[in-house]
Amino acid sequence: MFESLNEYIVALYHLHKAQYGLIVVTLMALVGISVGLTTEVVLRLLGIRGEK
Amino acid sequence: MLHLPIANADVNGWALLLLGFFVGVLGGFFGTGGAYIITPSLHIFGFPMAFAIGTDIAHIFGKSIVASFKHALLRHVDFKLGLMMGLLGMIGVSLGKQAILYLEKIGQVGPIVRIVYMVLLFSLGLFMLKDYYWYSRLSEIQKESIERKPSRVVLWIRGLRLGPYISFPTSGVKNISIWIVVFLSISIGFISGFLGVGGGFVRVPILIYCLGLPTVMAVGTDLFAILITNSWGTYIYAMSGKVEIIGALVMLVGAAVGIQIGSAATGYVKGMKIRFYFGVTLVLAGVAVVLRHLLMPTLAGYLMLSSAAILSSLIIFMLIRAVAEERYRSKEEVYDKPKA
Repeated sequence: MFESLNEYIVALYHLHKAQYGLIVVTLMALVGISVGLTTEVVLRLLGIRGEK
Repeated sequence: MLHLPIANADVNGWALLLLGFFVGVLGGFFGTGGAYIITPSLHIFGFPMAFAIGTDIAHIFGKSIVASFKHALLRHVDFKLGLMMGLLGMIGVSLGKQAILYLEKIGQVGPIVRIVYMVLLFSLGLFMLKDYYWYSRLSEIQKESIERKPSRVVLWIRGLRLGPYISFPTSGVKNISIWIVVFLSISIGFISGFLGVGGGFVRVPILIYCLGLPTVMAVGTDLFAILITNSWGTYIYAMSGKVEIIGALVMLVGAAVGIQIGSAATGYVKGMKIRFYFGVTLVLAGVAVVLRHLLMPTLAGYLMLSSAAILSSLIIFMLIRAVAEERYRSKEEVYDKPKA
């Protein structure tokens, strides 16, 4: 799976550099938000809100 | 091992995940991106230097979204000030890059950048440690009032009569000369562009000691400013093919978890304690730069890596202890309440 993903990334980068840039920015934002939100939910379940 | 297709290198995926987590905890706690830790560490893990910088910037962008959101929930972000600092900082970054290009032309870029880096890290770090030492000798009542009282520099800056003026009600900064904010923002941007870092390690002390922001507010506002500048930086570096998307994503997963923990910890730890640990980190980063200057880059990388691991573990420990104490106190209150 990783190999085909790697090939796709390299092909995309060589075909459209601007598009690759946009995909990187979008992916970083999406992964960041989703992992961050999941962590926030877990922390709240554990009673760690950070508000004092 | 994880294969990175664009850099054509192999790195340990677990090491990347852990590195992201440790620096994420520090980033959420101090309000820095942590480029001074990640870039040399990535280089040790086998990333070519140019890819290390680009990948680092991309993952910092992702985690700064999470951190800004978390700090916004805690009401630790002054969006107006952060937006101004982020946008004006971009002008400074361009000026800093021009300075680097000039130094490159005359063949002096390496030593001058390292010396400026060392001077900044040591002076800011030692100043914060001295500030904490002075604070630790005060009585508990004095400690309470001193954190709220603006310093002489802050009073001088706020008293400057040079219109037009601007206010930042969220941070409690009223009628400050707009030129001060412009000057500080561009100067921080210049340092970022000159040193090739996010600039958080300069912005946080400036927000505290020059504009008089409470420590937690400085941390949150800085992370928001980093989000603005790094969004553009990520795009530029990705377009020039210097971002290893797989490596950046793996680090981001660790960092997004770590930064939530670090940000939550700021709610339980006193502002002065945050300044103390920040000072320690800056001094250690300064020692790492000295080691790199003495041609010991691997040792410097290991020093930063181990200190990041130790400091973030300490922050997690402080958070767990504070939460446990809070629970114990709330239980005691329940038992102490007289039955109706």
